[in-house]
Amino acid sequence: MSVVDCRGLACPQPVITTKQALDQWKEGEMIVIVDNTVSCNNVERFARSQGCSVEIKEEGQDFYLHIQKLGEKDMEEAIRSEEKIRKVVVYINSQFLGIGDEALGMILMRSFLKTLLDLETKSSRMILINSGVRLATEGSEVLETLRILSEKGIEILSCGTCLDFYGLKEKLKVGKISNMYDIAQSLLEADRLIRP
Amino acid sequence: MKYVFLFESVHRVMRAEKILKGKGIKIDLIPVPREISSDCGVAIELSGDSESEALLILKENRISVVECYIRDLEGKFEKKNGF
Repeated sequence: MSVVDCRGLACPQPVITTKQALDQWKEGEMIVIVDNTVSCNNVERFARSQGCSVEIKEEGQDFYLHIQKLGEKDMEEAIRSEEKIRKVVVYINSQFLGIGDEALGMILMRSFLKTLLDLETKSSRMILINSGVRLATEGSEVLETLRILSEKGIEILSCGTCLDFYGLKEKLKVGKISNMYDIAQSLLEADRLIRP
Repeated sequence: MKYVFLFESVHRVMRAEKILKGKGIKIDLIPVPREISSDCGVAIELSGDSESEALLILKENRISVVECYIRDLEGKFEKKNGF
């Protein structure tokens, strides 16, 4: 088992030393010792980015990072679980994108949604709030775009209070009417929240 | 097959959209495709059968189309000259 002692070294030296050790290291476990939290976090992040598993043990003021290379099977497993937890929520709280001229904001919103179609999106939910609900109702320029997104499996939720306020409840064309419980929960549970 | 029109500015795009829609031509605003330009811009997309009519209307309204592209069924772009 190889031990790399990085105590007393200033950032980013521990990461560099770890990298050099990792490059030469074939298999088994490696221990990296650091004496501060920042180095500990940096080394951990680096090792994980290299497909290693990391276990940290504190001893006095020092951190012992037990680093293990994952086999190919474990790697695939790790990547799969990473994909599994990705709940991306796109939160749209206005029919306009950005603050400024409204006609421009409308064009930018159309462009944004269209671009979502072309990108490899992993987004799982889209929440429309306030004037954002206009995007999913009759007369909207982006209905077709939203329809395709919805067919791709993205759940589109419009705020019911907002539809009611604008008198658009009967005119919703894409997605479902939702309530603040669902919306707040989606926001809290999101792994990643996009607010264009 | 689709046509993509590029204009000088976003203001022209907005005017062109208003006029063409007023004449009942079905168009779509799209972000300028990356294959054409890396600039952030908007373009007008319309189907092949309304292209010449649209160009005529825009000419009458003195809105010049800067560039015109034909998008084939595979999504490839070909620049059209002399429109």
